[in-house]
Amino acid sequence: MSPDDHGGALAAFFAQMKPYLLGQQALAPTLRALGPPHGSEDDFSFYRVLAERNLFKVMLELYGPLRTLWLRRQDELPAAVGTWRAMVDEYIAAHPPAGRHPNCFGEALPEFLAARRERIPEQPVVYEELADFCWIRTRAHQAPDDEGDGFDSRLFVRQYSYPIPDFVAALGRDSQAPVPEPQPRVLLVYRHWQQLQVRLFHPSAAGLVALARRQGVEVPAPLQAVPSDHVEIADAALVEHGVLGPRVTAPA
Amino acid sequence: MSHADLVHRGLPHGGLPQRHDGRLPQRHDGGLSHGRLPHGRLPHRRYDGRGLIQPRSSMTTTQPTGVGIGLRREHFAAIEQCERRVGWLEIIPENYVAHGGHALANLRWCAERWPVVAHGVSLSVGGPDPLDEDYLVGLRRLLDELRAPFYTDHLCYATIGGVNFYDLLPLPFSEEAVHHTAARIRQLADRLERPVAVENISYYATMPGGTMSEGQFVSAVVEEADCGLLLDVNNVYVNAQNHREDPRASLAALPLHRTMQIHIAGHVKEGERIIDNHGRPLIEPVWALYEQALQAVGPVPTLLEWDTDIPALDRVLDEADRAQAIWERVASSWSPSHAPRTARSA
Repeated sequence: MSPDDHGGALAAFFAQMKPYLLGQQALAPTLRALGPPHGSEDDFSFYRVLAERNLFKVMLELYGPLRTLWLRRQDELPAAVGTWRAMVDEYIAAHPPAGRHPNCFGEALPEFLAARRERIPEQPVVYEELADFCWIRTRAHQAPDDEGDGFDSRLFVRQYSYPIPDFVAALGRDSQAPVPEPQPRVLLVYRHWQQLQVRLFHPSAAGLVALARRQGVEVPAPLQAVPSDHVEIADAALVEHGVLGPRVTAPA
Repeated sequence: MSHADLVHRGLPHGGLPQRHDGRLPQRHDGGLSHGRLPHGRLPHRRYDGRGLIQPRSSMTTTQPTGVGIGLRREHFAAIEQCERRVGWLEIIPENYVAHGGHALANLRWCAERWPVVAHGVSLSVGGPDPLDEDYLVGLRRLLDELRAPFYTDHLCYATIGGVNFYDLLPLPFSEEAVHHTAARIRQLADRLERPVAVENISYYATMPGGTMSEGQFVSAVVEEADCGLLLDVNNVYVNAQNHREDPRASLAALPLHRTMQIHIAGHVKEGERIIDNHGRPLIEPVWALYEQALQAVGPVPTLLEWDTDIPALDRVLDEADRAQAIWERVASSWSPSHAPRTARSA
């Protein structure tokens, strides 16, 4: 059955409920199409409240630090940046909730915010970096166990312009923690390949080369001069810290 | 209760060693032979007086009995240290299928110690979208690994045209919805190769297009699907209050003879409405209704749900202990002939 089918009352019901629950159709036309509810209109419309409440709850739980900062600063930043509520409403409209797990609903937020900043330059960069960190931290925590080295699943390489992990920790202690000064750094967010804990690691240049080789990607030109014995040592350090699993050597 | 309240969005906890004993999945491990029963139909079993809380070995049944609790990430660390009675555990499988890491390791650790059953929130058995076959493969694999004797979900829809509302939404109580949903429940049981039971949900509005009562609708679906009922006693109470009905009459109107499992939980008042939020202790009228339900259906396994504002594990177990005392009292004297007529003849 498709909600767009015209074959039955149930299909017609779903066809009306989808836009209504998404906030794309008002109550009056919905009830004109479906007929009056058996109880009050207030009871019927409570489901719209619940649907919206669920999405905001998911955003709160996935992006708590970002929400804290956004709510705190929404009155001091230019109006174009908008409120947390307005931003989430925009996000829902652009990315209707899909995917079995509620976390899936939040997946596109970092990219959404990056694209939004193209349109609204007043939106701080730190917002999308916070969102990205929150998201990949969750991803690393829940990634399947059997995905090899797990790049972009269990293991993420990021360069942020702010010390995001420290800022997230600070916001956890104090919702008024000031936004730190920019401090660009490369870091790895990963779940230890065996111990199941999400950790951070700051790789050296040799470490980045070791990661690139493991992932099978081309080593950037500025890093090609790193001596190979340094890369071997860095690879061993990455294994020791649980970023990577031991290298599997083919049997002779 | 919404999906948003039930899923893991948590971050790291202390690591557990991954333990998996490599046992081959077994559909039915002796004892009850579900294969000779209709989908979802489990026989009543009298309480046998044995201890309920023995860690299971590879030879013991995975059947839950007595009162269990939901496995929630907030309790992962505490349950490792827990020395109190934990009858059995219920999980939200969406948190484990295609997931790894600490949550899955913790589940495997628990499954070596207690029976575990799965209670899904996202299959949208009454919805218009096709059942997700890829997900069902993963779900069946998980159920096999847990040796879960049955699977439960909700009599509702959650998804329309690929949009997931992360809630348990009520269907119109119509003949068309009965046929549509029952066919999908049969399909689900076939895919999972085990009995399925569906839960009577809390509903805050009766949807337009319905032609029958909730009791008639639930009965018609489970009879046509030939499946079990997961009897949520708190939902019976919440619905009766919100729709100004007598909860005892609402209970009796359900197909109680199909009950495979019971849920009990707390709720919260929001304005004039009672919300099924699983975030409070049970109130006395729900305890009384639970005892009435048990007397009607017999000593079926009961799950104490606490999914929002989750307190310490000890507090949840205190509540479970109270339920266990009721369960044992009813079980010690129950026989099918004691069941009210509505439960036997529905």
